[in-house]
Amino acid sequence: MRAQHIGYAWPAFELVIERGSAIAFARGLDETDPIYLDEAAARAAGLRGIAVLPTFPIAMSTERVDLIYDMLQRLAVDPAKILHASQRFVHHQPMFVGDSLTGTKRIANIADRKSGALTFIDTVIEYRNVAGEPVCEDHCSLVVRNT
Amino acid sequence: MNTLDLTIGSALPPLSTGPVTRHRVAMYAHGSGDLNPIHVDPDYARDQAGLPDVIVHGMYSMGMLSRLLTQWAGPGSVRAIETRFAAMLPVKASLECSGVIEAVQETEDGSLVTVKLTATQADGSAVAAGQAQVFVAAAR
Repeated sequence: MRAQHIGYAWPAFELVIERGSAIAFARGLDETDPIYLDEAAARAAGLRGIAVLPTFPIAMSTERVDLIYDMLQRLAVDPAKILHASQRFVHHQPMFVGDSLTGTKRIANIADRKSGALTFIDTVIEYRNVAGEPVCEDHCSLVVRNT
Repeated sequence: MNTLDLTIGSALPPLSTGPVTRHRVAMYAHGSGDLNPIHVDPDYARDQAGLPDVIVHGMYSMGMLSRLLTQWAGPGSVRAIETRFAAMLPVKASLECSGVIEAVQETEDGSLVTVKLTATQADGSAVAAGQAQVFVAAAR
């Protein structure tokens, strides 16, 4: 039964938003606004560091792809059978290059659909800053094709 | 400096990517760290996944939808964004991103705007859809 894994949480992990990662992500989305690419431009715009795009947390989660593989192993799911069904990010406050965050990931729900032909796996990662304040949330829904 | 049109039903300035070439897919794979071979290896896409060619990351489409919002309302304006992935985007296809204002909630220091998001291919076929909450600061 996969449902027994609902609520499973991995140990908290630390990460720092690195300059190279944020800039490569912005370039990957053809971003040309220098506040996402250049420290001096960001500071000139009144920001405390290089800004990051709203979907950058996906690169933060990919940095911990080991947690995804650990989950698939726990659930006995073939990685070739999964698709990204939906994705949601919630931003409680802006993030900048250089910020230190603590992430906690858990399995929020597992549900069969279409008479078991599909299984939806929902995970949540919550990120907090060094003051313990919520910064952002990553809500990911994967779908497993069981047939 | 709120000069944005917040009329319900009005459209945000659209964003068109033009053809998403293999190089741009590789740039996104590098930037996101998602090097799944279905996005970067045509042999794998054909022989293992049964597709005619590699496909663009779903998160590329969501990223472009988010840029539609930040180009409109500025950095740090996106409070929440969600996307459902409707269909694969083949490499070299173009992505058309659009947003329509669905609701506006006034807050103490500005407006929280709900935007309906749509990403399609050039022929109008759905790629991704969703919505966002965008904060627009009050005029001062």
